[in-house]
Amino acid sequence: MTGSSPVLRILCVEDSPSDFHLVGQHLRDSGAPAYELHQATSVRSAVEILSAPSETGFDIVLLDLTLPDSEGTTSLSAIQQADPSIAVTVLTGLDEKGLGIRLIKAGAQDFLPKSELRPELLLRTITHAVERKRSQGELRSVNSKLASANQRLSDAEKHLIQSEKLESLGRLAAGVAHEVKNPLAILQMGVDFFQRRSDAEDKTALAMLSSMKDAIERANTIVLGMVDLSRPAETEFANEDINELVRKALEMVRHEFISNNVTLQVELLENLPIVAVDRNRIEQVLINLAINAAHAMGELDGHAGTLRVRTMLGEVQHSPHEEGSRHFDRLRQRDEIVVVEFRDSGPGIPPDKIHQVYEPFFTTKPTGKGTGLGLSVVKGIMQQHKGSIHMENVENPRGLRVRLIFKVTSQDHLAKVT
Amino acid sequence: MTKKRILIIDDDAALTMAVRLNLEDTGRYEVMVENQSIHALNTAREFLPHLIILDVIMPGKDGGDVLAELKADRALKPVPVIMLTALVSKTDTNTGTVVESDEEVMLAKPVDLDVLIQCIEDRLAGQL
Repeated sequence: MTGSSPVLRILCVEDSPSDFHLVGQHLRDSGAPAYELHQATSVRSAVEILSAPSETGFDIVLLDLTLPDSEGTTSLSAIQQADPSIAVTVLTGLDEKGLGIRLIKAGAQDFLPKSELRPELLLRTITHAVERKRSQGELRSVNSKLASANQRLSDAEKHLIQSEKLESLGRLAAGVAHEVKNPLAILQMGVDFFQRRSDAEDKTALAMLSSMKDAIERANTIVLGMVDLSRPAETEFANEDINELVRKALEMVRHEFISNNVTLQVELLENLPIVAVDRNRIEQVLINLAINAAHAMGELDGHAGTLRVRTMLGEVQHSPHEEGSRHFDRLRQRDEIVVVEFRDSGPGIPPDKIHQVYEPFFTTKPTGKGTGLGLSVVKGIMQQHKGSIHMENVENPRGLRVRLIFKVTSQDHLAKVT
Repeated sequence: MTKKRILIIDDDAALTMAVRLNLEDTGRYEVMVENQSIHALNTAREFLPHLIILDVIMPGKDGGDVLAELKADRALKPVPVIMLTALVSKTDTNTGTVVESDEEVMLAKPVDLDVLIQCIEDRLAGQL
């Protein structure tokens, strides 16, 4: 721990009393301003001193390389491990060429052969070592802030590109959806016409017409998804009890759980604060997630799956990067939040695909079973609510965990849902 | 039993033909088609339909304009209108396909024939 007091605190790791005495003598003779000199006679005791919690740490370690419990670079790395921020200058009696270079490469600020030790040289070396270490620390800190800012900028840029891609895709989708619906309507009417006219005995023709009708329905489902994707602006917010929405959504898709052999575990935290949501939109989100989970578990070759749905109350620990600077009005640190969690026991999403799940038309379902639009719509709806969605594969038991995060409407804790 | 007269106003000729054939095939309806919305009012005045099926997005006058003209005409005002549109989606509705206001009913394209016929029958029954 580097000390912040104006007194220079020096830890001399030296087992020889005469050498320690000499260091003390040189420091006094050097005319050094305020300083404290402490001694450790082994690397172990030095490590203990440096690791102990203290308000005034040391500025520099003067390290003898030949100690009873450790030698050479091993001593240096033990000290650095105990306090990575401390400057270390090595004092050695070994007059070996190349040793100095090796030690500096290993992280020492400087090295002084004991045979050359003089008061002014010692003071200058100590002062430079401390300053150099401090500058390195500041540089590292600035570098780390820069890297972090750069990362946030890069995330925000990616988010912006993705949003703009989605917006233009949405506009395109709305146009395409409208144009495709008329031909679909004609096809539907045509199939209806021939179905009515077909001979009831002609099973083949009826089967063909039936599959044509299914195909129209499939195409229409995609078109409807595109329309949903393209008009996220239409929302009506009202204060709602999330638990009630969860109960209703789960009830609406009960048949999906039964047909996919899924057991439901629901744990809803009572008296949750209210959240301002568009009821229909959030029901759409909850239904979508429930159906996705049921379908994922329906692929478990007949094994029963379990979907655990929970609601929780919490606060934002850190603002997620993905929200980006463009959405600074969204969740902030220490905002009170309501969390809805869906945890299924399905196969999860392949790790190399999980970053794609919100892209339109991405699906892990077989052809014809999913449009790949559901989660991109879900994400859009959550963004409209200034909330977020987080999805990750989990173990023990294996499955997928999806969390929806809603900002609590009122900070007034009396405004609870009854 | 006299057939009920139904007027379909939609700019898509292929769609109006498909709907017409299906409705005529039931034997219950006499169907007239108007593909140009600017002529819709005159056609309706001449044909005097029991029910009108009206598209929303059309070149010239759109469905809203045509509906306003029909409702402004004393003879046509009580005639029920079914709006058929590509604009609504299933999420707009609780039932899946139908949006109902006090006066008009709206069906999403593509509409299932059975749903359309049921809707026509409900509206005609309500008219009596």
